[in-house]
Amino acid sequence: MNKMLELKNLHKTYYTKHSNVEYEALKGISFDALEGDFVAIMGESGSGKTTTLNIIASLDTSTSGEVIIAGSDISKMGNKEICRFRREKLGFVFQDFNLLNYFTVKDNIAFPLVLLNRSKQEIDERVNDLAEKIGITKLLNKYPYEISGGEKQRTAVARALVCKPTLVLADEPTGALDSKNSDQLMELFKTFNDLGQTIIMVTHSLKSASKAKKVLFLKDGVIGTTLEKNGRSDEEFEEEIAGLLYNARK
Amino acid sequence: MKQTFWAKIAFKNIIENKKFHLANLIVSIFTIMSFYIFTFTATNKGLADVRGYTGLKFILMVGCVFLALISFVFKAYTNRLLIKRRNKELGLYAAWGLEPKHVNSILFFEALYMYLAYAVIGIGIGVLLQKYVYRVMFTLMHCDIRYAGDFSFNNIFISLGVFAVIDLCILFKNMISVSKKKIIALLKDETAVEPVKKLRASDILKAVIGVALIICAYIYVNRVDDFVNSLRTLVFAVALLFLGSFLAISSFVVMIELALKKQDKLYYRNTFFTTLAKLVTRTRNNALSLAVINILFTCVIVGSSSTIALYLGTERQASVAFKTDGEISLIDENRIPEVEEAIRSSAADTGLSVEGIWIAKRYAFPTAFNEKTGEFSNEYITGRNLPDIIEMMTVETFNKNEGTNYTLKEGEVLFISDEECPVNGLEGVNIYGNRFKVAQIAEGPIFTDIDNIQYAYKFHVIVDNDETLARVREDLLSQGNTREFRFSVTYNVAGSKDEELRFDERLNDKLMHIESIDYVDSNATQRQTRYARNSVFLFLGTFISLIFIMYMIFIMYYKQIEEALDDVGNVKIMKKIGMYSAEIKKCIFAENGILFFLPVVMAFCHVAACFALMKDVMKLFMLTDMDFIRLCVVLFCVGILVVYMLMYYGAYKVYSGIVLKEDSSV
Repeated sequence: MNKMLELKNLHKTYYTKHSNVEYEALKGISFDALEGDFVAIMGESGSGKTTTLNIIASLDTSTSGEVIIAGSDISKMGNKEICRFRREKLGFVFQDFNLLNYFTVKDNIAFPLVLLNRSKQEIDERVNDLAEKIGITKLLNKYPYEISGGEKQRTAVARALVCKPTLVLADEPTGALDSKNSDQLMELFKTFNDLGQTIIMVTHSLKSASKAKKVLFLKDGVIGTTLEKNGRSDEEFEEEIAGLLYNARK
Repeated sequence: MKQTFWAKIAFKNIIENKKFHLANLIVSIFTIMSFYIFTFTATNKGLADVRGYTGLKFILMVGCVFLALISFVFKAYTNRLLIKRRNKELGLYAAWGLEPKHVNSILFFEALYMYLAYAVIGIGIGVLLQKYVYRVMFTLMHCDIRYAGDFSFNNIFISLGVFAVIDLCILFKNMISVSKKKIIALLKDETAVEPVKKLRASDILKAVIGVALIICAYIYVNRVDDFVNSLRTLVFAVALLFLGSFLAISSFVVMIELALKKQDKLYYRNTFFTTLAKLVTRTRNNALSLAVINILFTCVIVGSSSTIALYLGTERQASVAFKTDGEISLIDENRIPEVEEAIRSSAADTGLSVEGIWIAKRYAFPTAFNEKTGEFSNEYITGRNLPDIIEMMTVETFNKNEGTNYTLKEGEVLFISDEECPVNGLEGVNIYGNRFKVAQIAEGPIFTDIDNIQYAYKFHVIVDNDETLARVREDLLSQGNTREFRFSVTYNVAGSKDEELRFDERLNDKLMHIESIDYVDSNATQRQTRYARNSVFLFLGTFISLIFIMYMIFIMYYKQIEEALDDVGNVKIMKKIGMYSAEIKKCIFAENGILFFLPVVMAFCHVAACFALMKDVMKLFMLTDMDFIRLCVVLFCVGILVVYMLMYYGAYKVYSGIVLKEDSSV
């Protein structure tokens, strides 16, 4: 399978604004994700997982290292090129949904397509198709403040997938959801991953991570352990992840 | 806890929220400075030497009261914007256990600091500038500058007192509203605004009412003839216009925006998409502020362009006051030689030559003329609230004064209609039962066209001889019209404006000793009094317009900051989804542009619709050159539009600066 994502020796150092204090958030992260992969990144707060995701998403820049997505090195791209790349190749799902309140659910999903200047007919076809697959057809004319958290996150997933992105990035997608909605969302991720969608997800949740094919554990800015699912059931994989975390804390 | 503790917190609050308080401080400084300068000018002893002093003082005093009232209204409105944003903060104080009296102490000290800051700075600047403002005003008046005194403590105390009362009223209102609200309500006050989904039936009704109110106000102002007596109802019309504008913006404009949103081909295009979606909600939420800006803008255009036109048109007004250099009206015919002698001797005294003296016997009184039937009566004519004027004289007098050669048979009249009331094909006139055949219709104005009285239209009826004139008067006397004949002595002298003014003063001294003088007036007097009065109008108009503009800027600036802070989250999401900064800026430019220029476009419509009223007001001041007035209004509109565009660009920069502040990382 083709490599969809390559991180090569990624470093990120933050400097405080008014003093010379520096903080190294990433200390040389390297990993690959293949086409159709579903990678979960786990780690304690401050381990660098969200920073890694933000750099992959081109929302932040690395101090050094390379980020290659589908053969393109985004660390060498200019601002406008990055924006174009982001809207065409990447899909995002955030913990707090990041839906725009003045848009309907339909318009929120359609937004990336409008940015790509797609025709109204194409927008309708793709939004309706996705809404049906995700089960939010009835919500299309509602506004975000009229729907539940789970429905909001499903809308966010639809928005992330509407452009048929090369890579979907999810930052704690179940963080604001109850267990039932979390399960439903992860099932949705799994379904799209089974259809070939590559997903990189940052999560604290064992259960969510167990749905992934691979779990990376970050600690103090470096990748500690990597677990592969290798055809095991979700429950078995969850146990292994739990065991690893338990041993790490001892 | 000691009051000093709350005083410190209040001071820290002001410093930390300087972004909001600074604009308020600047406007307040300018307002109190203007108020102080108004009171100083009105009470300065130097003004007493100007012709028409009492009237000027009255106008300035009215200006002070007006300024105090608008200050109260705008301070209350801007306070509403500020306190709304602070509800959460005040709620937190209460949640932390502060008692209402402690919160009130903080509010009191904040108000006190702001008051002391703007009052001291404002009055200080006023004291420094008063001399120069006074000089400019006297230069505009074409008068010798008689500046008296450096400053008056009385005026300072009055200014301090008036603004202290205004601030206290607002402070008490804030204290009451904060203490009445529950903590949870205060804490929840900053929740996100719900977007406008669709129009409800009540919205459609409001849109219809809004547009109807604006149309009603337009129709009303176009039907007002008697401006002076209609002031109260005109204020009502302005209130209607404000309410109509508010409803039209909040419902009618939103209706249009929603209709545009339904146009898929338009809506699903890059810039339109976010612009239209946000605009609907922003228009609804900002409707009140936009309506306020709309009315302020209308007032600035009408007020400033009128006062500028009045001042720049002073010569025009003075020159149309009389067709000759001056006129003396008297009741006793036997006194005419004395008046003629006074004119000649005054001219001799001041070294001028008399070009001509004309005498006319006139019979004039208020009436109502029906141009369709040719009837003069006391019947009310629909749509004409001011009386018409009829002036009768003999054909001999008319020919002598106009240099014409008309002849009339018995029962015939020469009819001269008002320029603005054509009477084509009129065959006869009926003056309270006295019927005449119209031999000829001539066009005005003629030598006796005095425009310094208020009327709707003026008509001249020239009769064949003195007997006819006397017969008509006798008949009207029997009907209760006690108006007597007047003898007008008009004259022309050759000299410069200054020489004519000296002649005028001399003549006035001499006429004081002649009995039966009805009134005396001249172009020289008119010019001087008009310059004085128009300068005061220009002075007041300029300051009040500047205050209006400053409040406009303040409201916009505040709204821009408030909305930009609310929009930061949205812009972050847009950027995450892949919108370029340039695209976001384009959307902001379009959104803000529509919101900014909506009240301006409406204001231009209001001004165009109210132009007839402006024209009538100008006519009251004897400024009848419509092209000149139109030019002043258009030039002022262009000027203020340029200023407004700069303001818009500044506001756009503030907005985009806030929402794109963290752009560097993306």
